[in-house]
Parts: sequence; structure tokens; C-alpha cells
Amino acid sequence: MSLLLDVADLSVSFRSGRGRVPALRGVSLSVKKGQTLGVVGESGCGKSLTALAVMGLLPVPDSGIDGGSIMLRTGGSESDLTKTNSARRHRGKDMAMIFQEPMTALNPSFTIGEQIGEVLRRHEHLGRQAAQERSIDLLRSVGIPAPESRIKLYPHELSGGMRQRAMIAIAIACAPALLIADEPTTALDVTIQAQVLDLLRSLQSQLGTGILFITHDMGVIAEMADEVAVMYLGTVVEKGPTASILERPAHPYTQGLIRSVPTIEMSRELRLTPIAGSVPSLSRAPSGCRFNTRCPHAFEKCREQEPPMHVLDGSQQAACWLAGEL
Amino acid sequence: MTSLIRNLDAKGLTGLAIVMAVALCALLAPWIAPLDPNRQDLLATVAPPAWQEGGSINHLLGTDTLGRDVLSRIIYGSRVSLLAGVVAASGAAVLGAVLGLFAGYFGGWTGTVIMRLVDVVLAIPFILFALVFMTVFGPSLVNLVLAFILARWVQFTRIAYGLVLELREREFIQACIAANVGHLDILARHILPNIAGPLLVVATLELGYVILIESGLSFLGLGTPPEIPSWGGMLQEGRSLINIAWWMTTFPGVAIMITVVGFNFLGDWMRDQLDPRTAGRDAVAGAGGGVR
Amino acid sequence: MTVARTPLLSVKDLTKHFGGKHSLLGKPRPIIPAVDAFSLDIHAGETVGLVGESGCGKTTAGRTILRLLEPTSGSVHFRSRTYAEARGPERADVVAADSNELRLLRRDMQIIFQDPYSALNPRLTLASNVGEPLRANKMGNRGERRERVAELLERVGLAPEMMDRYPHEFSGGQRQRAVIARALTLDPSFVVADEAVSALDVSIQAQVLNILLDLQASRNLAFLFIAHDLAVVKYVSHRVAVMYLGRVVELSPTDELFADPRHPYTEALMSAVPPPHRRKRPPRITLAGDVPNPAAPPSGCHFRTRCRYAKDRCVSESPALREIRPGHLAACHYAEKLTLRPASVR
Repeated sequence: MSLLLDVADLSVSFRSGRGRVPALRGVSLSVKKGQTLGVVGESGCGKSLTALAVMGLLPVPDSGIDGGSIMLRTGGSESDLTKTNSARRHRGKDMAMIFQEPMTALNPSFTIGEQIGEVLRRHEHLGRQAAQERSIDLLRSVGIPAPESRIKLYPHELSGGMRQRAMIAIAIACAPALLIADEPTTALDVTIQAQVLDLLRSLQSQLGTGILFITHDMGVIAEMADEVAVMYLGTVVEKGPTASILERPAHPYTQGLIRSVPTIEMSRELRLTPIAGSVPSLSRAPSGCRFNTRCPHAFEKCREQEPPMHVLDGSQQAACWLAGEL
Repeated sequence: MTSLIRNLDAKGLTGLAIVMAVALCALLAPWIAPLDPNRQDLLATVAPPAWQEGGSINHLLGTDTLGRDVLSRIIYGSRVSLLAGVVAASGAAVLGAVLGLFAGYFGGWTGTVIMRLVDVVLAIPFILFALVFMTVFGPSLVNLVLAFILARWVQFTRIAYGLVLELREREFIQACIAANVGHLDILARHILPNIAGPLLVVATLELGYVILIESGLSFLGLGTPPEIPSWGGMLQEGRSLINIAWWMTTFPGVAIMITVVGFNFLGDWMRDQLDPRTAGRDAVAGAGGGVR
Repeated sequence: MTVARTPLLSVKDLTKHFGGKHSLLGKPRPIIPAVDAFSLDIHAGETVGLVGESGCGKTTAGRTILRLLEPTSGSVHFRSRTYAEARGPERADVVAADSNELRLLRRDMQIIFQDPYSALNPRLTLASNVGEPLRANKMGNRGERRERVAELLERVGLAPEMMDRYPHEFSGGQRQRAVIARALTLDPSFVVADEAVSALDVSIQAQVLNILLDLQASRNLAFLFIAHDLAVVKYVSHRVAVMYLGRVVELSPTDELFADPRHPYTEALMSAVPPPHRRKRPPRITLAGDVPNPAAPPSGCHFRTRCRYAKDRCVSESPALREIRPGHLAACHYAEKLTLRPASVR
């Protein structure tokens, strides 16, 4: 399977009052054509920042890419999105993004039809009439009933689920090869989340889109992702095929994350085993392995040296000195 | 208090220094001013500042059309400006904030009446109102202050009302109600401190506005009486001569500008000090994630 | 759990309508029946979970029980020690209580909120925030209050040395612990936990859930645990009530609800939760469409517009919440007849 997006050794830092704070450190992950990579982690782990870096939407001038590459391979050509203006050329056409809160991502003073039409006219160079017809088709394909009348509505006139569908319609307007979904269902109720997840999967199989799916929800990961990358404090601590990561997590953080989540199947007598402590702020990230302050297995070496990625059986990798032994 | 002084940054320090200087001028005017502000020197009318040709060391910043010393008048003028500004702005702030708190927190019928009244008052041009008020009750400093309070409280009410409406729905206020915290206690301990910052900033802006308004009314002969020197009055007296005697308007103008800026700086700094999030900036670090 | 003793809290036909009133010079607003004839008993030391999607009225129900919102009708009988000491009778109606009686009753009932950022006063220190209920109820002097706050903070896993810091210096998880500590200062017997862990990161969420379970065990606390996350509710609750559009549609002991749901909405809700593993499971039941506008709910059964089993009777006749089995109530005409799928089982 060929790589669609290949992020290699990406480092991003933020400027703050006390100098530069590294927010991403050597992040490597890749999305294959037509497949879904799930990125999971808690707040501050850098998962959304990774997405923004790919889209070329890092806040300027407060943050900047310090190193690494983001290769996007579409239509036989390859380009490095870390280069100036490179991401902008692909945005909207070859890659698009869905945000958590559609109400803030959609422009409140334009109708849904105008916002989809805008994308189509700019990238596909369609006329006004053709753009409107395509907009109606797109809204229908994301499961919005009566799209002929809905295109005349403003975002606030739609329900949360419908708004998220409208945003997906805008994102897939140009049939992008890469779709980045940043917590697209977190603000939605479970029954609506189920609808949106179904929709994303069926669109993926129709269009062959590669999806970078960011979430904190292990259940959504299990449902959507072919492969998973687990992030903690700006680094990828474990990655590999979803099934093996969920069944045999090798990194103590992944293990802790899975054990912290109550499941419907869990017996009522079982107690959750939370991860001790809380995520340190980026400016106070510990040396060595960044998880060592909360890790039940941490020993001397973990506090001194940052562990590299260990390749385990199959394609599972974990950045832990004890990978494979735990 | 000691920690307040330790937290003085450049802006706070500048603001405090300016306000203190103006206050000292007002307080010690008879000792600081080189000359009697109303003493006319008809042999030296419209004299330029000392450093210009024709200027005299006796009149450092020049004289006006009646030969009165500009520097002395500015020093004495600080009394009017400071008194009018501080009393009027704080009076309007107190009245407006109380009504805004009340309307926002209790809402209901009284709240609606208060806010409709705000709409009505906002619709009246202030200058027009002040003109009518001063004509009816006579031009005096007290009446100017009264007119200002009566017309400008709405600025504070409007802002306080909006902030209270938003705060009232915050969960810590709900928690107070659930824990039997009394309404007055909620208003004084939980709501007022959270809206004091923005109100303070408005108060410093209004303070500058009073000083400017005073000058406008003086021009129409409805401000403070001419025997009491005021910056506004000086501005208006010099207005017609601005082409030949720039110093008559420029120096009082600069005094107004510096004072307003000083109060704004001080207000900004005090707002930051009132807020624990910005008071001790070093403590902010460490509040990491934990919430998605 | 259901011992013969009278329940700690008996909610009967509690109803809360929003809107409807004319405001001065304003337009009349439509009436929204946010909570419709809500009835529930909670026993001492019991946790009842309340689940449903946004807009179903679960938060309104919790706040109306505490009379943070004024109920439209109904009653909430509550057994309160402080009330009994002052007035004699063991139970009193929260809804009918005058302001003095309400003050007594509220000493025994508290609430934990969802958003740890808005639940603490940013201008007060942690000690003042947590100690505020003591101050308001004139309990102890300053020193005694600080002592009590220190003890409570320790209880929820916060170092008492941090009590003089301001909320912004704490992480979300730490703030939520402080919010829990505040709810416990008056030593209540009943606590409404309104989405108490929903805003927290998963690793912190587990910590806070365990604190709640420990507190319940040590203090015989009763919880109304309001949440949208079914797995979390299952983890902490003895019984679960499911709400849809202002009405309770099912109420059952937790294990029985998940093993044998008797309402089609419960079935769909459980089916929508993605399980955190990749084993085979039956295809999901996807509910069509959105929750209807609460100002104009469908006739008959509120759920019928999205129900795959709906029949003519559901349009014309509103189903009552009735006992299907001992302790298991459902509001569906066909509760006994339908074959519904349990939550996916290993």
C-alpha cells in the first residue's frame, strides 16, 4: 500500500515569554492511501498541532517548524508541506480538514450553499449554476435530507449533526486525497456520532480518501482506524495496526490509557486503574522518557535517556526501554 | 500593599507617577505655582514661552490675552480637572454599577425597567443634556459633576449588566446558591470582584471624557466660572488665537492628554492587579492540561 | 439496595417548563417542557445514573430537584438531618419549602458541576472556594474552616499546602477535585453530579471516578449521576434512568438494563457506543434523524419518529412508565413483546 502522507521527524515549537517551548518533538507518522490513521492522546499531547502543521495552519508568528518533513504524495507528484506556501497550494483541493466544533469552523454570515460553492468555484473553477448543482449533490451524499432547501440555510439554522455533515460536505467538495478529522464527533451525541462515523467510512470507501483521524476516544479509534499512533507530550510513544495496539499495547502509557476507560462490557466489580498524576505542562516536560513521571515501571535509565522506537513483532513500534517485556 | 508595589511594571509605574504628580499639583497649587493664576499683567499679554523670542523668564509657558501666567493657570487648573474627573467618574461608576448588578442579578420586572431607562438615557446626546442642565441650574463645578453622573451612569450599567448576566450562569454562582450563600454575599463577594476590572477601565476612560466635556461647556460659557482656572476653559479661551498664540491651547491640551493617559495606565494596571490570573505572572506556569 | 426503609429522596411528577411568560415589551416565548412528570426514588448510599442525549432534560432535572431552577409542578421529598433537628419531621418537600426551610434542606444536598473552569470563582483562593459553604452557613471560625478545608482537600487527593493558591494555578483535574471537595464541605447525604467527569481527560477521569466511589463507600453518599457516557454511568451506578425529550423512558437496575433493555431508545443508545476493541459485533442500530424540537415534541410516544418498531398506537397514545419486572420500568407500549439487543457482550 502506497503512502499518501509521510510525516518524518517533525518538530514544532512555540514562542513564549521564557523562550521557545518545544510542542512536537520528532513526530513520525504516515497515512496510507484510502486508509485511516487514528491519532490518540490527551489534551496537550500535540495531536491537533500535528494536524495544523500538515495543513500549514500553525499559528504564526507564535509557532514554527524547527525540523523534519511532511511529504504529501498525490497524482504522481510529491511535495514537502513544510516548505513555504506549499501547504496552501494543496489545501482545499488535495487535503481538507474537519473540526470539532462546526459552529466555529463555518462562517455564520454565509449560507451552507454559498460556503460549499465558494470552494467549488475556487478549486474546480465551476460556474455559479454548476457549483450550486454540485453543492446539492454533495449535501445529499453526506445524508442531509432535502438538500435543495438546506443550501439556503445559515449554519445556526442547522442542528449540530447537520452542521457537522455540512462541514464534511465542504471538506470533500474537491474529493481530497487526504482528510484530516480533528475530534469530529466529540461535540456530538452518541447516536449522532454513530451517523457521522458511518458517513465518514462510506465516503472513504467511495472516494478512496486517506484519513488522519484525531480523537481521545479509544472506542472511536477501534471503530475507525486501520492504524494508530499514540501521542504523549509532543512525541509519538507507540504506533502500529489498531488491532494489535488495542489487544497488546506495549507502551505503559497506552496500557494506562486503555485501563482508564470504563467500557460497557466491564464487570461492575472491577475497578479502573487510572494513570497516576497529571500531564505536565510542555514547558516543564521531564527529561529522558517524557512519561517517566507517571509511569509505574520507570527506572533510572528512563529518567536519563529518551527511548527510541523499538520495533516489535509485525509493524507495531513503541518508544519504551521495556517494550516487549511489559 | 507591599506586594502591589512589588508588582509595579513600567506601565503601572508611569500611570502612578503621573497621577501622583497631578494630585500633588492640585493639592499644593498655591505653593508650586509661580504666580497668582488670576493676576493680569496687561503689559505682557499673549507673551510666548520663555525660550521663544519675546518670551520672559517670568512667564515660563507664556501668558494669555489678559496677561495671566499659563503655567500657573495649568497648575491651578489641575484642581478642577482632577476634582471634576474623579468625583464625576467614580460617582457615575458607583451608581451605574449598583444598578447594573441589581438589574443583571435579579432581573425580572425591575431589571427590565432599569435597562429600558438605560436605553432612554443613552438616546439623549450628552452635550445637549449638559447644556440644558447647566442652563437651568446654573454653571458651577458641582452642577457639572451632577450632570455627568446623571447622564453617564448608563455606561457602567450597560457593561455591568452584560457581565453579570454572563456570570450569573457560571457554575460557581449556582454552587453558591446551592450552598445557601446569601444574595448580597454573592453580589459582593462573587460577582463584583469579577466585574470590577472592566468597570475600572471604563471609569478611567470616562474620567478623561469629563475633562474634555468640561472644556466644551466652558467654551459655551456654561462650564466652570472664568475666575476658576480650568484646562478646558483655557483651551477655549485660546482657541481663536491658535494661529498666533499656540501655547495658550497646546499646554493645557498636553496637560489633559498626560493626565488621561496616566489614569488609563493606572486603571489598566489596577485591573491586572485585581485579577489573580495576571497579578503574579510567574505563578501562571504549571496550570497544565487535564481537560480536553 | 432496595431495603424497606423510606427512600432518601422521592421525586414525584416533577415538571419544569421553560418560556411561556411575556417579558415587558417582549414577545411571548414558546413553552418548552424540559422535564415532564419526572419520578424517581433514590435511597441512601445509592447511585442512580441519569443518561440521555443533549437536550433530553437531564441537567434540568438535576437542578430542579435542588430547586436551583424553580419547578413548574411536582414534589421532591427529601430526608434531611439538619431539617429534622430544627423542625422535627424527618422528610420535607423541597418544592414546597419556604426560604428558611430550603436553607435547612440544602445543607444536606449538593451539586458537582461539569466545567471545572467555570465552577470555581477565579478571584478567590482554593481555600475560600472550598470553604464558602461553611462560611455561608456560619459554621466554625476561620481557623476551623481552614482545618476542615485542608482535611477535605486531602480526602480528594490535593495537597492542603496548595489551598492558598488561586484556581488558575491548577489543572482541570485538580480543579474538579476541589469542586468535589466543596460539595462535601457540609457533609451532604445526597449529591447531584452533573457530568462531573465529562470534561476531563481519560486518565484524570478514572482518578476522579474512583474518588467518587471511595467517598460514597466511606460516607454512605447518594448520587444522582448525570452523564451522557453510558460506560461511565454503568461503572458507577446501581440503577440507571434513561431520558428522552424530557421524559424518563426506562429505569432499571444497571446490570439488567444493559443485559435486557426494554425500550427501543435504550437499545439504540447502547448500540451507538463504539466498544474499545475490534472484536466482531452485530451491526450498529443507527437512529435516523435528529432529536425533535423540544418545543414541539411528537404526539404520543416522543421517540416514535426515530423508533424502528413504531406502530400506529405510538402516534395516538403516549406510553406510561410502567413496571415490566420488579424494579424495571419502561415507557413503551410493546416493552414486553419486543426482542431488543443487549449491550454488546464479550
